[in-house]
Amino acid sequence: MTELQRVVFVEDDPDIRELIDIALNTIGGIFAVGFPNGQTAISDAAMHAPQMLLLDVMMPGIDGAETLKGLREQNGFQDVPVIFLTAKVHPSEIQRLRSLGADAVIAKPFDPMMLADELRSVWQEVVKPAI
Amino acid sequence: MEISAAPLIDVLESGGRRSLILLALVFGAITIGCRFLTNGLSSLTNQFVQKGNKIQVSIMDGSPLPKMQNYGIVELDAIGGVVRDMSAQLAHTFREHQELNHSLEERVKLRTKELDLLSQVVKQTTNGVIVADTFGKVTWTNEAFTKLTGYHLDEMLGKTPGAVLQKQAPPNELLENMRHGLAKRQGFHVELINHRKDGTLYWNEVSCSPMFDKTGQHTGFIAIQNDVTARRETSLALQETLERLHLGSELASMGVWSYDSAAQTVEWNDQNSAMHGIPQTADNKYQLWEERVHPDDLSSMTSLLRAGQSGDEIAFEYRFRHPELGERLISCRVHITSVGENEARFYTGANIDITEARKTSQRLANAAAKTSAILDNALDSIITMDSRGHIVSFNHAAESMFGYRVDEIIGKSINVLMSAKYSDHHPNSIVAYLERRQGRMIDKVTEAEARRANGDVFPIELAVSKSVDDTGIVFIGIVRDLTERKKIDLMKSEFLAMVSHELRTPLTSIQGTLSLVKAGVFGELDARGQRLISSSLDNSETLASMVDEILDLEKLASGKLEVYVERINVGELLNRTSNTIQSYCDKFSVGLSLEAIEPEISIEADPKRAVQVLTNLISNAVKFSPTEDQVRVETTQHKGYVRISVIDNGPGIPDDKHDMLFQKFSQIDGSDSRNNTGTGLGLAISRELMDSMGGRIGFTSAKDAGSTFWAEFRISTELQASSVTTTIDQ
Repeated sequence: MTELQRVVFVEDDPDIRELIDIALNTIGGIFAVGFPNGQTAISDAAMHAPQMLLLDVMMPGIDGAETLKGLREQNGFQDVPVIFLTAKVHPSEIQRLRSLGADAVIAKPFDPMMLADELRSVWQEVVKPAI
Repeated sequence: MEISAAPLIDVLESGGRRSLILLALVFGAITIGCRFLTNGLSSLTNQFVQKGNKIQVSIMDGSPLPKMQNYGIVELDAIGGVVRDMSAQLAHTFREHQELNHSLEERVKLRTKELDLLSQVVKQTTNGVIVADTFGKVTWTNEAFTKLTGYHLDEMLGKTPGAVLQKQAPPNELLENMRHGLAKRQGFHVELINHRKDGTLYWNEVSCSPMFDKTGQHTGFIAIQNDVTARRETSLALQETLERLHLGSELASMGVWSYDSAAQTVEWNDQNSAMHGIPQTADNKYQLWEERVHPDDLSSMTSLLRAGQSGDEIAFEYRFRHPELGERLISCRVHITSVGENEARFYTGANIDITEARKTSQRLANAAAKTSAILDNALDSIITMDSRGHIVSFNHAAESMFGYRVDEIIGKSINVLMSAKYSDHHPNSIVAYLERRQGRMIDKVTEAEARRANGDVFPIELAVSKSVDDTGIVFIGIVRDLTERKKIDLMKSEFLAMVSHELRTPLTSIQGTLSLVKAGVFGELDARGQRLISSSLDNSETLASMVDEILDLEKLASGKLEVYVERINVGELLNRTSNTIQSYCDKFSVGLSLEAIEPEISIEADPKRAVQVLTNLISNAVKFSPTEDQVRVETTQHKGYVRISVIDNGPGIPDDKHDMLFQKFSQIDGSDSRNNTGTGLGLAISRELMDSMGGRIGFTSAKDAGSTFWAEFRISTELQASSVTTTIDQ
């Protein structure tokens, strides 16, 4: 089974972006590239050939859903697993995000010490061969 | 006369021819003599026969008897005398018999006529007639009896009428009366209830009389029966009416009076006496009454009565000074009757004291005016409509809200105020719609869409109630324009989403950073630094929980708190709870023991919300437990529910605090800084969550005896896991 090695994440808050960077790159051992907004992610993410996307939902400009849509339109992004990070944890919101194609939803605040494990857990669930 | 010839022949044969000739001459002479004698006797006999015939005729027709002729013959004259005497006697006797016979014939004719008449009467009468023997056994009944009772003569013969006609014995007193009348052969007259053959009841008036023959011998009884049901009912109804009138007069305190203008006398009943405070025994009742009537009213009513004609009915009211009750208002109706040439007038009147009724009516009028003012000044539209859905009233607020003037909307269908969504589906009768949907529309507040005069459709909150007044059913609708509220709701929702995001974002940053520092990612800290960072992390978690609770509270208030009920087994639920709360227990140095009996049993719950409830109960128990003590979590089953109990050895909850425990923002002990953490919303939210999951929550506790809080979840009956979505609808 392929291991999760490359993640692209989009988070507009610089502190949280840094936390994710530490949580994944430093603690989790996953190569993660962060973008401050959806536009730059859509234009540059492909360069990093991510195996997984971690997207904040509420962002100025285009939000997480729009960012995902923009990325999905690009070659190589159609089947990339995606996890949303959100401060809105209503069940209806989680349902909405899943209907957009989210493989998982992580609520804020999250524990940076556990973030990489959570991503790997989702990765294993997504890529495991069908029985 | 016949003479034998044998001796003569013997003589002739022996004496010779001469003797024979002599004898022949003598014989001839005798024969001739006899012939004359015979003719004479025959004539007399004929005369006697003729006389006899005449006598017979005289006897028959009563004419004088013929005189008997004197024949000069002693025997005949004697016989004639005897015949004449006998004829006279016979004629007298015959006349007597003839007269007697004639008298008897007349009497028979008369009796026959009477009997015919009686027969006709008995036959044609509508009264039932029964003839009975001396023992009261029926010997005859007429057709009317059969018509009245349904019983024919052959069904009655030999029976006593009571045995057939009375299924139930009459009252004792009546029975005694009848028995006494029969025993004494005096008869009786009673009214009693009888049964017809078809089982129906009727009131029977019975007149029973004894019968005697000419010798005075008692021969039986005759009873005349009459159906008096109608009369009886009428009589009872009349009696009831009279009683009611009497009672009504008393209950209504109606004073009844009459005044004779010629005699200047007044009579009135006790009610009128009490109404005016004038004793019935007072000699000068009229004068006392006149003195106490308000002068203005006395003057006007006198004019009215004087102007009235015979047969008129005049109504008026007058004020009266009651000696004890003060000023009263009396309503009076007077009937005028004039009699005779001198126009003597009689006034008959009925009075009712309407003082209180008038006050009540005034109060009602005032209340109605106030209600009208309130309706007109109400901020909500208040619209009433009749049973056909036509608008009956429309207040000022409704005019402003809908853009119609009251004069142009009254009488129109309520449909003009409803959006097409409602009026198109129910174009004929909004009332039928309301009735059919009564469970949801009447006496409940619902949201709908209305339409203004300019065609704009806008959201409304509608409360419809149903009432009945003198015109029939009335629907009262209170309409609130929700346009602004909807805008505010949207703004609030957006604001909450923003708050949620804006609070959680810095919390994410703070908590994440502290978590990294605590984990030593940026280097090891000394013990003091570790303690401070841990404390900061705990506080930030508390802050995050408070944010969650406040958001939950808002969702509860707006009815948007969502739960997703699914199957989950108890063991898994307790594991998740333990994982979530363990660090909290550690922080307070309180042990946690979880003991699940039959952990595989499935319950119906939203796992996330169930964990939220249980962690709330455990965190409360931990907060109030002594250090190094233990909180126990136990599960039991009871009547289709699994109860998860959280048991602590804390100070317990005083009885007087029990009621407030599940209220929002309640804190049992505000003095203890350690225990006084949190928003005071946890239990209130937990109860709402348990309700929405179909579960229950509660506790037992006593001061200084610890507490047991429990949550009960329905045991799942589904074989397959299923998901049910419930939105709390407040």
